[in-house]
Amino acid sequence: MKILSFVCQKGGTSKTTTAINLAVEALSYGLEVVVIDLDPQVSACDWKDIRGDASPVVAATPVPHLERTLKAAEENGAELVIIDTAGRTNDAASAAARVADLIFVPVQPSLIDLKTVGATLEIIRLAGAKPTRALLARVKATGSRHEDTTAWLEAQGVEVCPITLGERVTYQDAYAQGLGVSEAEPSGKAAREIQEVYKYISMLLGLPTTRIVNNEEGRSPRKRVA
Amino acid sequence: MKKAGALASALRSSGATLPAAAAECVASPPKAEEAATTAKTLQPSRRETKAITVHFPEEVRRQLKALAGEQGRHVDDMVAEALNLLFVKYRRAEVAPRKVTK
Repeated sequence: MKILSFVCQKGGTSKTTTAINLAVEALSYGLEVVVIDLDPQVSACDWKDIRGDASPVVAATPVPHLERTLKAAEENGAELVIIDTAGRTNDAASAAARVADLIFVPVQPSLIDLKTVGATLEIIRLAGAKPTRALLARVKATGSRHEDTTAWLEAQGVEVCPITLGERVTYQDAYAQGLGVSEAEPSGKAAREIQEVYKYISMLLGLPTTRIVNNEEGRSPRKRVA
Repeated sequence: MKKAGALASALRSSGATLPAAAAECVASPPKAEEAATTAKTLQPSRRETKAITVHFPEEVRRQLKALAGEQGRHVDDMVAEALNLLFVKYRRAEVAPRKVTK
């Protein structure tokens, strides 16, 4: 079982959005996916409320119970756990960073976001300095701020995911329907960039890279294809 | 690989809280209930509809809104009328629903 944690001390950087979309994307590779929601606002759980019975499983757990919940997930077949945390919650961020195989730090290309990166990196360092990647999210269609941000992060010694996520209403619309962008608009730009981020993560975590065909219900993958 | 239902049950036993929908996962809730939950998140006038986004010069938008204002009708209704005229031209059903006047 692999654990991917989303940690950032700033709110509104697309932690939940990216977490649930990657979870949906991972389903299409046949993985048993669990999203653990450590955010007191339980945004991932709210999404799951809308989504209904379709995978992935989403669970909110108190921080002290995190390891117990992870153990239960592993013993019951979970292959990928994605942990979503809230901004400005040191306990949750530390716990999520400590148990992670890979940590993603979503960052918007803005000065206010970059100011919080240092605090986030310090939490990650204290939690054991697990492999970490910054992910530029909500990148505007015009301008080169994301390039400047990438250069700045790399100068701080932070590795940056080569794929960026754009500022797109598809993410909001998909959330409102309890879907991932790859379900709401499979041929859209948002779906494409989420697919690319999944491929990047799969390379780092050794996850499957072969997609499978969806069954008749559209959301529960069954058959692997080349 | 065990079923997601077993996974959900195990996570609940570990002290995690699962959203109501996930808890019902084991019992397979009716799809209609899921659709109703989804519909609650949308504005009533947008339920069971899909957006069609098109881009035109600013003057087209201004003239369309002015025309709708003159007629005392919704822009959506004006566009529906235009689409139905188009559908008639190409021998398709006039499926664009008309909105009530403002």
